[in-house]
Amino acid sequence: MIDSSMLPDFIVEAAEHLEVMESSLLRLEQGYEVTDKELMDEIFRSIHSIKGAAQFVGIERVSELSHKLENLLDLIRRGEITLSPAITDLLIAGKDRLTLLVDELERTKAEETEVSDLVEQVRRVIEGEDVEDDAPEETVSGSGAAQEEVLQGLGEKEEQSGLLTEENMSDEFDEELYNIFLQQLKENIPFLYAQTVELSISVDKQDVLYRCSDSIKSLKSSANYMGYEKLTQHYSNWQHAIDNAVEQLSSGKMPNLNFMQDYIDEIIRSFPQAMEGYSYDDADELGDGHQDEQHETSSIDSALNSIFADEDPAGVSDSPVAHQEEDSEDTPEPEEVAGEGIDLDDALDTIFSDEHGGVSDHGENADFQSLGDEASRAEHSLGPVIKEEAGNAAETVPLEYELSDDEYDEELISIFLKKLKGDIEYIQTQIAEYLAGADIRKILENCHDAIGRLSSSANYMEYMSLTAFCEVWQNVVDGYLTDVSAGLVPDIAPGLQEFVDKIISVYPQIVESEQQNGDDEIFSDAEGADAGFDDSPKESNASAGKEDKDKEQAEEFEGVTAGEKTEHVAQTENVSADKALFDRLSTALETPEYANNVSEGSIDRVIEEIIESPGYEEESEPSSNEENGTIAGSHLLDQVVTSSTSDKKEVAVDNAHTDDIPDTAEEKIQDTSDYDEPVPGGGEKEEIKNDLSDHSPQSKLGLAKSEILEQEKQEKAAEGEQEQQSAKKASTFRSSIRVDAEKVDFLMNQVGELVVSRAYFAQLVNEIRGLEMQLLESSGTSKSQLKPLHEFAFRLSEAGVHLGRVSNELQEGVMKVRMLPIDQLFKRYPRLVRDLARNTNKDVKLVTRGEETELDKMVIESLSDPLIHIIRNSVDHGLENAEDRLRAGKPAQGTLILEAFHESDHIVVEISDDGRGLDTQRIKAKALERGLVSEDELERMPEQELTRLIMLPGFSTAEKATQTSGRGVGMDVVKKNIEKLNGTVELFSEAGKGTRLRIKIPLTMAIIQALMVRVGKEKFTIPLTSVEETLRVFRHEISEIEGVDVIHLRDNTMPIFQLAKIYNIDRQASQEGKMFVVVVSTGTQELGLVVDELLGQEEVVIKPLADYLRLESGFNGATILGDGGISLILDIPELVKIAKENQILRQGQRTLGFKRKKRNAAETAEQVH
Amino acid sequence: MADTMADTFTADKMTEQDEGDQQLMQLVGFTIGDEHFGVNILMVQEIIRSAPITSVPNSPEFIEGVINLRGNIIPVIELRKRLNLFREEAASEDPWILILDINSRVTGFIVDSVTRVLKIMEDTIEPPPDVVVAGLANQYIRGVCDIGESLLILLDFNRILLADELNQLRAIDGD
Repeated sequence: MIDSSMLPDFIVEAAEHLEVMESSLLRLEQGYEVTDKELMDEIFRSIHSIKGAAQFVGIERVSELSHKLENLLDLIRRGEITLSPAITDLLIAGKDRLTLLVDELERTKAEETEVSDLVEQVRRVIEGEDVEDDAPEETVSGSGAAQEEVLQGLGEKEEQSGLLTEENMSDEFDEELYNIFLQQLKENIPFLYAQTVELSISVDKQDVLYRCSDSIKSLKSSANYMGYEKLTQHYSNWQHAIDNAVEQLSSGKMPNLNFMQDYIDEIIRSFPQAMEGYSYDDADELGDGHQDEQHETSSIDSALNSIFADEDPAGVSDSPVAHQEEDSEDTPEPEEVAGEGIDLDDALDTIFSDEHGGVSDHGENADFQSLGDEASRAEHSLGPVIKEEAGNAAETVPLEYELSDDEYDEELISIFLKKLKGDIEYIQTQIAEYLAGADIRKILENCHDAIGRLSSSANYMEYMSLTAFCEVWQNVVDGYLTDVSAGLVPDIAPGLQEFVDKIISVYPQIVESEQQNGDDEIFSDAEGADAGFDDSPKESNASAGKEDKDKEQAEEFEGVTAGEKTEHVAQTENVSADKALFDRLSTALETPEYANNVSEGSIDRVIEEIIESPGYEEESEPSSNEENGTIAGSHLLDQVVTSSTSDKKEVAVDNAHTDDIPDTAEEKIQDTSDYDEPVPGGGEKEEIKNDLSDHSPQSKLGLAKSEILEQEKQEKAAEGEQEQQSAKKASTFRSSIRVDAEKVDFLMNQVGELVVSRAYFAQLVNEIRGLEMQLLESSGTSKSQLKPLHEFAFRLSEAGVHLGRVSNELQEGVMKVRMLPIDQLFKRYPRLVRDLARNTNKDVKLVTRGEETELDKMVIESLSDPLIHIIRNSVDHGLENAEDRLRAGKPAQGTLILEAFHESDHIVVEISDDGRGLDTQRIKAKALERGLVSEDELERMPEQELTRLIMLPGFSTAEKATQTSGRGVGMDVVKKNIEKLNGTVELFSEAGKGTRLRIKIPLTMAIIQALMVRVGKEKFTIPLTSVEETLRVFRHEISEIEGVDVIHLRDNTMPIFQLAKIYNIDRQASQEGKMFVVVVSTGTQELGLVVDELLGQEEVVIKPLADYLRLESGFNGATILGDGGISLILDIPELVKIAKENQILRQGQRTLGFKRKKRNAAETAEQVH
Repeated sequence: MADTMADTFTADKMTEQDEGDQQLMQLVGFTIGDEHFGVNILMVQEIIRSAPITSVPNSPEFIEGVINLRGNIIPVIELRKRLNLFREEAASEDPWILILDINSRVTGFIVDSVTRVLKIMEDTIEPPPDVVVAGLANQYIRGVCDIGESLLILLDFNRILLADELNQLRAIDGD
């Protein structure tokens, strides 16, 4: 279940981590080195964080996949898997899938895409390495993994053909060959699928079958070449089947054609890679058969996975058997075992037996205390050292084990513990209420919720075992709930209490504080008894032993023990069963051979038991008998407790095997002197353990698993290191905060206002000065009389200057808030380049420089698309393939450089490649062909201008559109986008040497530097980015060419336009025959705009204009002047377009004499509207 | 005129009591020339008297320009021109600007005068008649409502802002 409140945060976070991961992966891929530990760590950190967050939020697939990837990465990091292209591809595929899932989460709040295929692949790679641990060569990781896949694919599903068993033997097979083989599979299998589908609809089935047969034939030969005998055989059979079908068809019969599907399925199971990227798109078409297959496989996958996952805790569990004495840290907590239980078939049973086992241990502990000093004496005999060690172990183990390291946030832990305590107390209260006779259903539901809370906080702390434990617990509670719904009245108290005890035993801190609070009366008793045992504070309702001791504790139990009829029928039954057992036990007390009767299965469980309990040492030391008894007893109890029907109880009672076992338990409980007798020395315990492992095949397995545990330990340690590093890293990032962009925008707007009012201030000063002058001149006031006014004006201007300084700094500061390093943008492209280079079979190296250059986030976002187009162009068209490059005397690897730097108030982003450059001849030809320019124009066009042609819409020199580019949209989009940013694009190209594209954009979009001009009464604002220079031009300098006013500027002619004419503004013609010309550039063209006055340079805040005012009007916004007036901001490229259109129009009018007609037409048109 | 208003008001009150207020509609009444118009009060953001209007060259004719409304730049439409009403008459010298929020596009409309707030019942609004009312194309009319002496025309500002605007722009470009 996904916690939707956390989802947005998760998405943002995951996206960031994925980004980091991708860039690291790409770097990794380039080097194929694992030596760069930092890099590996970074990837690891990213995936780890994603996993953690996903688990916390409850996003299953993401967490599953990331967990697997993490495992794989860890193996790589430890050098157990050698990095190969296949593996990096897998990692990248995994990352892509995660990105996809995160996208889906963002859009639909649900995970739609399956991950099982990737999980499976990863798992295979991991397992492949496990198997071939001692031969970690390059080939092994790639092809070995692939082979492993093959093996798995078959082994998993269908033994019937066992297609490829012998293929796996060929360890040193050629990876390249294998890839070719796979490629062929990839091509043929989808084809066969299509044919199969067609088969069901086609009339000419024979023809289809022949085609299939051909395809299979080629597959067969490739399989044969690879030496895959079984596969070849498979194909032969297939062909045979087809031949049969054809025969049947020709004889007019209708054969069953389902075999096609079966054969294909078989192949796909064996070679899931063959269907990569195919099965998703086409699965639907391919019929249900295939889908079912997939489902089946995935469910099996997950089953296997769970078993695989299962091994880890099991390994952990077993390890202490070997290392018990060595290190208290090794002692894992009981939950681990509980977690293991989940995946097993008889999950609940096992768990129960485990839990009960543990609980009865604890119960015994309590008994030791209450029954006398024997137990403590026994303990003392073991030596205080051990006890202390054990005590420490219990106290620290869970933390050390799960927290990975001690620099884990202590605050978090304390919060967690507080929460844990709260929840546990709550559950205990619920149990107490239940005992007091409250509504059982309600209590169960409450408990369920509480456990859920616990689970999620454990999840947050990444206490996996605890989480698993909680899950089991919840399952148990659910089980009770079902019972209740079925009308049964289960005795929930013992079951719940066990879990509580278990938790308390692991987190004794809770108890300590509980004791302080003393708020749980029911259990304080037991705790009191356990005071000496700070590691095992427990009291077990379910344990048989408890009954002796706890009689006085709760009425219900009293009743139970007495076998009285209480309202809890089931409970009574259970207890009477217990009672019956007790009776038998007492009679069987003398039987010493009970230990031998204990089954191997129980022995194995003993081992788990040993491991399970942190306080175990004390108990395990005394007696193996006791161990067995405990386990067996627990086993029995398990049956008793889980069954609320009398049938099961009878089974339990009648079971001779179990008969013996309770004896032991009873023995210990009832008679402490008996207890003392079978206590062997500590050394003996070791022996017994060895014995046990010898006897039990399972425990052997366990020992083997202890190796895995070693790995696990290392992993944990590594993780600890990891945590440490990320903690360090975090400290460098700690100063950053995530702020809603809107808030920043608001600040930005306010600062904009401030800047405006500063200008107003300056204007006021001027007005006062003007007033002063006026007074001085007209009203004849003397200078001394005006002195106060003068002084005031001065002070006002001082204040204005001060305000200006502050607001400048403020503005800068706020602008910096929005600034991000362009690295944010650049780091998106390595992947793009990689994929592009792959698609085009080129070798391209991407170099980025100046990543630290900062610019507005908005600008970064709007640059993203244009850069994609440019990079595509460069890789697709600009850079040649390796042979061409070598022929041209260039290194085989092409270089693409992304560079960013500041240039005054602008950011310049340059994208350059060392490819073939623009082909001006082709451009010319294309431009002519498309009628974009006339031949005449082309003749006169300078080289520089020619290159600009490619930015025209629809211009493409590509002969045909490739997958990536060539449709002629690219450069047009680039230009449009950059212009939107008030930026310019320039293109430089040299044939054979390369192309360089230069994008110049202002630092921010909200505030721009602008030139204020006046035309008539209107004030206009021209973005300074577009302004090249300003000129003062005399009328005689203007000449007219083809109806266009031009001036000569440095040996060039430049057209000039009257802004007043373009906008139909009334104005007095300038008398002096002198005028101001602002030379503006659109990046592709320069021209002059005639204005009446230059008002100066100013910083202006861009305010949006309504779209219908912006469209084709030549304005892209407005700004508010110091006096509150409005000045429109010119959109230079658009303005130039309008000016040219006007001019063409005028020219046409003039030359064709349509002037009047046109005007009339215009007027009528206007009237119509 | 005030009397008429008052009458309407009381009449409204009575119907309000009869039918409950869920169908009651509040309108801001305004005039252009002699015609009475109404706009749903919920659309009216504010009403201002004369503000300096900056004209926008190359914009459709009916756009008077833009104003600075507390730091926001808002286009102002001369409603008279937009609706092609009473072309001969000169606009009132001291115009009012109705600032309306039309689907979050805040736009000013110049009108001759703003009268007062009217309450009418929704069901007294009749669909626009087929004949042209006051020389006004009925595409801009949401409905008409008899308020005693005169007819109140409810304008459809969504249409006014959008419908022909683009065409108009095209036409201008085509010129």
